[in-house]
Amino acid sequence: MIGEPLIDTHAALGHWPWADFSALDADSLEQRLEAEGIEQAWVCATESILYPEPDRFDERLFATCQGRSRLLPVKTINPVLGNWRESLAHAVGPLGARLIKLYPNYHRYPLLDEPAMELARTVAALGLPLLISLRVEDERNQSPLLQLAAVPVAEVATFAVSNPRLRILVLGAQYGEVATLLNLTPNLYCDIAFAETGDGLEPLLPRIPEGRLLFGTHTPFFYPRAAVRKLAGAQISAAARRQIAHTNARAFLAGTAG
Amino acid sequence: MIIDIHTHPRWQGNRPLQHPGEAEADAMVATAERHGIHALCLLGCFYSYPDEEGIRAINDATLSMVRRQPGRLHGLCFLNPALPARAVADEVERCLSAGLSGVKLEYEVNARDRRLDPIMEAVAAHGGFVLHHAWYKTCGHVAQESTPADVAALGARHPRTTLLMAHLTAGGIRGVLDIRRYPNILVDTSGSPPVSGLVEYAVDQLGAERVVYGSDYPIRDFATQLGRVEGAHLPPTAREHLLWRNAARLLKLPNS
Repeated sequence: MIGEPLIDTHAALGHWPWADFSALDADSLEQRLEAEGIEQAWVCATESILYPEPDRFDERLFATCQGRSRLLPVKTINPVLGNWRESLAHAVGPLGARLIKLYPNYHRYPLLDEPAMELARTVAALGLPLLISLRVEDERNQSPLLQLAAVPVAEVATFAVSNPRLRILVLGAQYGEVATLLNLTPNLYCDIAFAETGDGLEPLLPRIPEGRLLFGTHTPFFYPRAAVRKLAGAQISAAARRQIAHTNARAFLAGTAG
Repeated sequence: MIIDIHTHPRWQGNRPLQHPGEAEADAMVATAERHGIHALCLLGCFYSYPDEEGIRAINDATLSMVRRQPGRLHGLCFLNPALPARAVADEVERCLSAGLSGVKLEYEVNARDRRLDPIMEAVAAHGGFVLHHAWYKTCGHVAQESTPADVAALGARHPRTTLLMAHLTAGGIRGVLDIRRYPNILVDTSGSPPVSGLVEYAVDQLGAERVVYGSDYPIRDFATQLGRVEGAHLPPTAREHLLWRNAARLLKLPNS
C-alpha cells in the first residue's frame, strides 16, 4: 500500500484488561505486521503498563522476540521502583535492549522529578534513545475505573530540553501536540498513531522540522491498517513518505538523526 | 463503492463558512474521491445551540452543497429541538421536502426528551432516518449529551423510525449492547481513534446490516477512519454492507 518498508515504532504484545487481545500471540502479530507491509515493530509488553513491576513480563517478551527479526522488544522501566538501575543494567546487558520506554502517567511520577531525570541521564550516557508514552487510550473513552490524563506536553518539553543529548520519541501525541512538541527542541520525535485531522498529515509536515515524524500504529490497541492508510493516503512527497515510513525510525534508533 | 454516512462541512467559530456551498462541496467530493469514497452524507456545519437563524443557515449550506454535487453529496437536516416546536417542525418539513434524507440531532436536548417525538414521527412519515450523537464519555461530558442508553430509549419509543446512532468507539461494547434488541437502531463507526475489535464486535452482535461506515470528517480523516473498517476481520460481504450497502439503503439510493 505504501511502496516503502514500514517500521512501526508503536506496538505492543500482551493482555489489556479492557480489550480482548487473547487471539494475538507473537506469530499472529508477525503475520498481521507482514500483511500491512511492516518490516519491523518496536514492541513493548502490554502487561508492563499495569503490573506493579515491569521485569516479569518484559523478560517473557524478550524471550518471545528472540529469533524474530520483525519484532524488536522494548524494555519498560519504572524509575520510582527500587530496582530500576539493576533492571536497566540487565536490559541493556544480557537482554540486549536497544529501546527503553516510560509510562509516567500509569506509573505515577512526574518526569521532572529526580528518579526520571536520573534515568534520563543514565540512558543518555548509554547512547540509547528513550520512548515516552503520552497516552495509551483516548481519555474520553477510558474505563471509568481507570481515568488517566495524558502526560502534560509542557512536562515532556521541559524534560527534553533538560536532557539535550537524549533522543526522545513521544508516542501517542495528538495532532496539535505533535506540532507543539516537535518545534520545541531538536531531540524530540513523535509517531503518527494518534495524530489525526480531516486534512490528514499534509498540513502537519510544513509545521514541523524534517526527520522527526515516525510511523506508528499502536497495534493491537488500534487497527494497524488505519496508520498505514493514513500514510498511504497523505498527499506528500515520496521523500517525506519514505522518511516517515522508515528512514526517520532507523536514524532515531541508530543515533544518526538530526 | 464506499459511502461515508457521517461528515460535516467546515465551519468557523459559531458560523458556517462564508460561502460553504460550491467551493466546499467540490473540495469535499475531491478529497473523498482521492480516498476511494464515492458519496458523502453531510450532517451540517457543527456548532452548538444554534438559534432559528443559525439552523436555517446550516441547512441552507447543506442544501446548496447537495444541489452542487447531486448523487455525490446527500444531507441531513440539522435541528435544535430546544427551539419552539413550530419552528422545528417547519424546518423538518422544509428540508425533507427539499430532498434531505433525514435529521441530525446532537446534544441540544437529550435523546429521552419528549420534544423529539414529533420529529421522529415526521421523519418516519417522510421515510427518512434520524442520526443521533451518542457517547459514554468518561470526561468532558456536555450537558444533555446522550449516551447510547438514551438513544436506545428513543429508538424503543419509535420503532417505526430508523435511527442511526453515531460513534461506535465512543459507545463501545456497552453501547452496542444497549441498542442490540432494537432492530430499528443502527450504529456508525465514525469518530475517535481506530480502536481495534469493536467493528467485529458490533457486526457479531448486531449483524452486518446494522453497522455503517462513517468518518466524522473533517474532525477526523477519511483514511484513518476507513482503515478501521478495512482493517477489521470481516467477511467480504459484511464489509460491503458496512462500506456502502447500508448507507445506500438509508439514503434510498437506486439499487440499494
